[in-house]
Amino acid sequence: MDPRLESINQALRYIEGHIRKDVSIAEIAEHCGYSLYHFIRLFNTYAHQTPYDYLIRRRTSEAIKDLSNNDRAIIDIAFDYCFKTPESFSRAFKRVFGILPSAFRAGQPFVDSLPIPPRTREDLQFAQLDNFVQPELITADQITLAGVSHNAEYIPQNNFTSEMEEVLQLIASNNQNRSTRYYLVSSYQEDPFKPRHRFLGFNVNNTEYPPPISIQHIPAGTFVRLACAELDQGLALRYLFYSWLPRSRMVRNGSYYFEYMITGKRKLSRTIFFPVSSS
Amino acid sequence: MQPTITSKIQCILAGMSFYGDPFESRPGWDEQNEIGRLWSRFTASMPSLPANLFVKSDTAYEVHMATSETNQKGLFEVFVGMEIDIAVLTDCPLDLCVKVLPAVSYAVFTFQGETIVSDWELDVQKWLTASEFTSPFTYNCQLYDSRFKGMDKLSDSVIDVYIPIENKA
Repeated sequence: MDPRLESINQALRYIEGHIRKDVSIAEIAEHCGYSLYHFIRLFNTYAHQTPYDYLIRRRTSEAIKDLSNNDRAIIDIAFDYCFKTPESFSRAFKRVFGILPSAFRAGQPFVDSLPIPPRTREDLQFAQLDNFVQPELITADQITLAGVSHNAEYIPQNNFTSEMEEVLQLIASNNQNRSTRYYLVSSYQEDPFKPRHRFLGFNVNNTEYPPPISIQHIPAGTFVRLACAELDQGLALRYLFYSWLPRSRMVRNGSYYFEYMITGKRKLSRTIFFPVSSS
Repeated sequence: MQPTITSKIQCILAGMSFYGDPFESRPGWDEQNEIGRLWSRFTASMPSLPANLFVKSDTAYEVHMATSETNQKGLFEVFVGMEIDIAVLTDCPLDLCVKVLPAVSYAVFTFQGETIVSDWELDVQKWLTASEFTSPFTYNCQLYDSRFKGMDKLSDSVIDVYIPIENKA
């Protein structure tokens, strides 16, 4: 157990307990038994985010629930979450989500970041793994895939059903040495953690296959890439959407992401890609 | 951890500043964080500065200054610079700024090796609480001289930290 990670986890819990209270970063540091300066350094080390930025993002993320679920005036919601003025709330909200609170209430979708849930100990541990490598931006040409598309529930994230395996083997038989390399494309409407459709397939040159096999193209563009172990897929996605994206100067550029997977004898390695563009 | 109490005459420093959370881009004791980059920017400017601008060529200061936003947001000013004589004040080029450390008493703590990157601010705070002194000032000052060998040779390095103090009474 890393005592410093536990301290930062303690800070995260303290923030959740004080999300509607006028707590300062100095008070959080004191609660954790650190000087302010040392605490800021540790928080950045473990959470990959400044404590103040995290606090503001959590407050605005909670405020979104109130904006959605009740008719309270925006000014009252601003005060509920310790913003001194409605203007400072609107500025913070726009900086985080790319739109004003009034526009959100009117139904306009997010432009920039998503609301972030509370960071967990598992999130902190994921970013401290020995094999953790910071996400990187890449540009990629169009990728053509042959495979099968289903509602997300039929293609679970980690288990390919035997029916799927049969279809994939059929494609693989026409594509030498591709049987261990899959692409899984997940399409979502608003929430990337609740994909609606998934497409499982191989990268192909030949685009003529009999049904039920279909062809899907991943457009060329800029992607952020993060490799992870088989079972860390959820944490990696959380890291990308809730931690990396807000700190980057990029925005989502499409409502899908894809995973490139290589199956070995025992393990499956994944690399997650999602399309981004400059904000 | 016992400091030396000393009185210091007014000290004029010329150097460069950063304001914000210096660990936002790179956390920890990383030379690529904003403090490390500030030092790089300052040392890179040296060749273009007037000759003999600084009183001592081997002693530099890192000053941390709290502002009205520090406690609430965790943002503060970091200044790195070297001492100048008041006579050369007008020789300072536009890209340098000047800080005047007041002539007050200081508790001087000497840290070496890994303690340099420990939470010595907390230890200083504990010492202050138990001492006859208080620190109503909003800055502290780290002195780097020939005893500091670099972050990659921390075990061989020594720094002095100056905490401005006055009697509690």
